[in-house]
Amino acid sequence: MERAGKRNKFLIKGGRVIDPSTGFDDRADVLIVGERIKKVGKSITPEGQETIIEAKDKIVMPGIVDTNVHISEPTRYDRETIGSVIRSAVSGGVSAFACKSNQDVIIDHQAIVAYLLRSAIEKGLAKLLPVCAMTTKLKGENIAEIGQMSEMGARACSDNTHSIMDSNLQRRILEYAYAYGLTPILYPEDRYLASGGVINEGYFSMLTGLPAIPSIAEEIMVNRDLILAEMTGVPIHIAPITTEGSVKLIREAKDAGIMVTCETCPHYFLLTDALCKDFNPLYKVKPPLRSERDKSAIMRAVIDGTIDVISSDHNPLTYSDKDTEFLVAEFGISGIETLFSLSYTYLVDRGSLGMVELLRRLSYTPSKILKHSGGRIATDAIADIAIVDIRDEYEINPVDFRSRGRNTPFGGYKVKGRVEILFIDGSIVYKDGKITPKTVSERLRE
Amino acid sequence: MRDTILRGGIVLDPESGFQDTADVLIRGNGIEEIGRDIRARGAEEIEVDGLYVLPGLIDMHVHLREPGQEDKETIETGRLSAVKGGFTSIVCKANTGQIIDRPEMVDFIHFRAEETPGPNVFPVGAVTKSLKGRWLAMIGEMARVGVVALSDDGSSVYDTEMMREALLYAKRFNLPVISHTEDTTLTEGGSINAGFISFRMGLEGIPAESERIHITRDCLLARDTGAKLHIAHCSTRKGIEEVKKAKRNGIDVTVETAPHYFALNEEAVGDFETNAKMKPPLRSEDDRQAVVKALKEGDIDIISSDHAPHTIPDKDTVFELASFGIVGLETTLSLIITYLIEPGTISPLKAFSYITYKPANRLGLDKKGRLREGFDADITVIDMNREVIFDTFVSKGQNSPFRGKRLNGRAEYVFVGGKIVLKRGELVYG
Repeated sequence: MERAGKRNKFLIKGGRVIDPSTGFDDRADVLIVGERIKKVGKSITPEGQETIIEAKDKIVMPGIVDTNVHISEPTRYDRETIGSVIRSAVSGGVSAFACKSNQDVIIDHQAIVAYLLRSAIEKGLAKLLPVCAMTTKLKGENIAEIGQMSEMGARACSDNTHSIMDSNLQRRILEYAYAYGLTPILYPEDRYLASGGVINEGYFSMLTGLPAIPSIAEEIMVNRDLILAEMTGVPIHIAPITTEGSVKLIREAKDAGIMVTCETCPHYFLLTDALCKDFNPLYKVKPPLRSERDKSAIMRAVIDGTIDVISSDHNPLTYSDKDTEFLVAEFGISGIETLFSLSYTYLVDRGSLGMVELLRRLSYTPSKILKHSGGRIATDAIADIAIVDIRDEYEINPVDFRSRGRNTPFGGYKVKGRVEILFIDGSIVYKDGKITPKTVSERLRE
Repeated sequence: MRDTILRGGIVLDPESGFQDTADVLIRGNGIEEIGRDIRARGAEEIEVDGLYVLPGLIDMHVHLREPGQEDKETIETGRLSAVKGGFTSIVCKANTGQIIDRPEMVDFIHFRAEETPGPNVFPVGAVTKSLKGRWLAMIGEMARVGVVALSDDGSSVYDTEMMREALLYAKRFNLPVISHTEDTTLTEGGSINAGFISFRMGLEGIPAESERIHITRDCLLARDTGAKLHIAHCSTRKGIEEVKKAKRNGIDVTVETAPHYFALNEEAVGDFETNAKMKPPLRSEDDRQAVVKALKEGDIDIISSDHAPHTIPDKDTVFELASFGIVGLETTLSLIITYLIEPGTISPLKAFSYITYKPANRLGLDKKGRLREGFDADITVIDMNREVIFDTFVSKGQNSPFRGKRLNGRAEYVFVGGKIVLKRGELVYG
């Protein structure tokens, strides 16, 4: 694209460059001109105008793409606004994220899609990719204006945690969504079995006496959605999966050639329902934390690739939403800032996953699902680049979060993988803990 | 009562695999002896030379309609129809006019069935009150008065939590739950198989997935609860595969099909033939072949008629308005012989196992389903080569796509508890 003003030029020198789209993982220099990557190669000689960034011993990778983020603007500004979520995102190395409906914001009309897109662009930071609702008001009755919202810029469609029990309606939605190029994101939960539940069904639900959600509630729905995907031939994305049984079903479906992708979140491969025994509402999420056995199955599935994507399921909540009895507390974890560090620390640093594979789960595959151009470090790719220091260990402290939601059970966890610099469209938007939005003129050019 | 000797027939016991020429001595209501040249003083001799002597046939899926829909069928006419078709035991479903959802209804069925000689009737109790899917029926009470299984057949238990509770309850009483397996959101408004033919005829289709989705759902629930599950009237390739997979995973599940799913395909609907309208609908030729293959390989456990009698006005109407279902008690045996045994696809021993000991075992029917000393003298003698053309049925329902078709094989003699109820193909009263 021709641009009127002075072009940004950066040369990132000596970093370990990882491109999940090609599997490239080696020391290299990256030259950014304007909003794109001009060149990736060994020892690029500077021409003089570039700002040189020394990245020795650091990782140069595409920005994270988070497929599961919720905000509360424009109804509950106390929970999360577009401004706060975007600042939170860049602090976590997230260059683009899917914004889904929730109880506060239902994206079922093109005006809301337009509002979200515009508000995000004005902030000049991470890219917001709207995910529109499947049914109006998430009621599971009438199909929302999927076509119009797609034209307005929606990337995928989802009724968030309101799974659609009516199989025929779900089938029609898959067919419509496909016609408009939207990826259907399906939440696997049989609402009859899960109704009223707050904790995984098992020993700990019995111990606490809390109403339970059985793992079979998820598996029955995964199974149904796989059958509908096979029936209609429409590729689907299931999010999130949390049980051993679901992993097995998806593995079998993939072997049978059904076009399905799925995701999980760090808390499902790091935490178990045993943590709920002290009634700490920070461990209350939906789907609930599962058993030890499920946890390790999810971990294995992330490593072997059965699970394609890791997302944060970012659900920022206020202090009072969580500081109440387990039964009435809201579901959710504020996770966008810890997504990369937790995944890196437990899967790569202390686990057996390769860096390329990790970034496939965190950036490349999510980009494909959201029809986004991210996830690549190659000539002509958009320069959404994160530079990460993986040597230093630091402690997660929710007080430091830029998100308004400090509801995380990971406070005090020692992790590695601090994001030092984040480029978005070739501009530095985050550096050493400071946010530097693009200038007004830069934003106007877009 | 005099002893009876069935002399010179080919005796088949599908469970043990016994197949040989032998005599059978019936004493009282039991089988006294099976062997060569049996002698018994004063016994009545029946020559069954060249005929097959089988354990009494069992049909585990019959709609008797009484009480409440006596215009379609009564317990009496249904039982006569069963005898004509060679059945000595029938299992009747709960979706009668008044639903069999409480013990007094079960007693009523038993009481009516004892009024006249004829086949044993084993009632199935409803899973939910009035088949509404909201509250569990009186499962424990019904178990005490002798239901052999639980089923909301005719409608699905759509609420997953309700189905799960039903399975947990049924397990306590050691009863199998028979699942109708129909995702009603996908079948609503449909009247025939979804495909080219439904498209051509302009009829709303019923996709195969409606069956598959609920089969997988119920198999997962059975795994979760450890209960016994039986899948009724499986009609599709995918459905059979799902059950096979579930069995491999150690789930206690069995599956049945009906004769029309291996004898006909969706083309039988022809020019809006309402007598070929049933639920699940006749499927594609590929599905039909899958059913035949599954029967050959033993992936299907049971054949049952899904006998669903209707009045003439129920069927003699616009296709979409016509009732679902066909009568089957009198045609099932002939269809098995004509479509499975005669072409050589399946051996008689295997084919008859699907309507003798396998349903008996699944439902825990005591002393039934086998031809062996000490078992009940429920015996069916059939002529495999006899040509039959059905003009009218003994059943009140005349709704069958097999009327006027030339089929082979029929029941010649039927004994229930040692009493003869069918003689040379004619009903014997008293």
